[in-house]
Amino acid sequence: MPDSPPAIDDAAIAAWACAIGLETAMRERPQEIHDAARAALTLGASLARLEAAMAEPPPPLAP
Amino acid sequence: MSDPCWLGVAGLAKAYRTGSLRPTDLTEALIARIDRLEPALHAFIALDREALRADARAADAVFAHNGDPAPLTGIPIGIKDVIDVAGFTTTCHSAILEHAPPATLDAAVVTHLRRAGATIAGKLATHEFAIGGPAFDLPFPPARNPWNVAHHPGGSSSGAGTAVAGGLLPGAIGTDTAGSVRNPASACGIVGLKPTRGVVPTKGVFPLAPSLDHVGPLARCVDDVALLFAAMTAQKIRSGMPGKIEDVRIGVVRHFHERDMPCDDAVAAAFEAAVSVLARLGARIVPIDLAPLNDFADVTRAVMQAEGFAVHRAWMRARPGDYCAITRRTLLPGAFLSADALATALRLRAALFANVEDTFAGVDILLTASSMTPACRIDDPAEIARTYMRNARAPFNLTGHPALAMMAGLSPDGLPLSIQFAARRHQEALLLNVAAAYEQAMGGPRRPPI
Repeated sequence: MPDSPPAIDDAAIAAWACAIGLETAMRERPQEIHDAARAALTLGASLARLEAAMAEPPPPLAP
Repeated sequence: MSDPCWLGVAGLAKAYRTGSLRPTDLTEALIARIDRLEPALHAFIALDREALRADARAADAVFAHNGDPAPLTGIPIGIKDVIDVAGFTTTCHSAILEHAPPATLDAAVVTHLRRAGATIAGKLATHEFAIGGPAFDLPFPPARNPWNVAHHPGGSSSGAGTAVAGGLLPGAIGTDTAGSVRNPASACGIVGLKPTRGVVPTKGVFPLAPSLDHVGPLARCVDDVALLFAAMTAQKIRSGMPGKIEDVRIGVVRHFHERDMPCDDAVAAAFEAAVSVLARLGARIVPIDLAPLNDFADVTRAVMQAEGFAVHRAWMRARPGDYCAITRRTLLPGAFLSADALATALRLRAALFANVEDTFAGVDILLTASSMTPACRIDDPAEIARTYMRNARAPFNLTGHPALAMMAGLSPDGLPLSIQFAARRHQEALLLNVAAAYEQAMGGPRRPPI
């Protein structure tokens, strides 16, 4: 089951994009930037979940 | 003599040595076929016919006067257009580099091929910068599938798959960062090898994600792939496979295509038929579970996007509109991945490597599905988005183990189905031998109706 995109508003993404030098893309294709940021956050959350799952001990054997 | 366009690397080498064919004969036949089919297939970015003819004349002279020509003398090989060939612009199929100056040096792998005698035939279509998918918003059209030109040929080494499967060239060299040699091999019904990471040099190859990038050969049969691989790695050229595979322990990974990314029925049937063939050949079949395929896919995506964006950062900032939409969509998330996410991905990569490495303690070869569906129509972006990433190839880019994809029959619609073998690191010889035994049992390579 894919993770849901974390909550982050469009203004925060726009500011983030400009802070990392993507003003041109933000101006020309804002929807692509919003999608990219949310995809990255979703992937990061998925990786964190996966690492946590790997760290869990295996379930006990049924009696 | 049969049509020389369908002679493979080994067949051409033999025909030249027996005197039944000259390199100039082959070259004229290939140029005529390219001129007839290229308007429909779009395999090439650049082709210098006169240079090809000059090289063929030189090869004729070698066979006429030299008792011991280099093994690939007179054999034209196509090069994916992310790999430098001196005198050709490396466009990466992109408007970004379309008008860049020609490369002044050959990539290391091209140097190896030339030393083995090969003729470099030209530059082949790719997905833009070897990422994304087939696109129509680029300066060059996307390559088409010779089995059905309405369908995509896989990628990103798309022109390589098209040219080899379509009988335009006997072999080609592609790159494979998340499956890009094995995808066109699967879609086009040929053979593609991603060698062990580091075995084939990447110097002179435009990077996509340097820690995942590999260079590998595509050809119509396993023996030809073995010959090209030997040349690319400056190893002694060998031929004459297959040997016996009795008692080779083959780990069969079904959960990739049954549970993790459910495949089409035809793919599942082809997979089970392959298991039966291998068992009949005497291999020991061992059911195996690896980590879930989606775990490999997520980690690969994180590494590829982070490294890929790092390569493209300056152009993405200055001229994002010069990329095609699919490339932007694939690379831009890398700008927003946190250092924490990448660090997590790298820890997971080590764990997944250990998972595969530990598995090879109990088996010699792994068998998995390759593509979960046959190639869909190239003009159906929704279906491409749904199916293009449904494959089991990325795990072995992440871990660096050698992997080979090959044809495993045809779908009811007449499109190639595929399987994938993988082996321990540096065990390409066993990998190729098992694939050759399977290929022989299946009756050898098949030609598309083009």
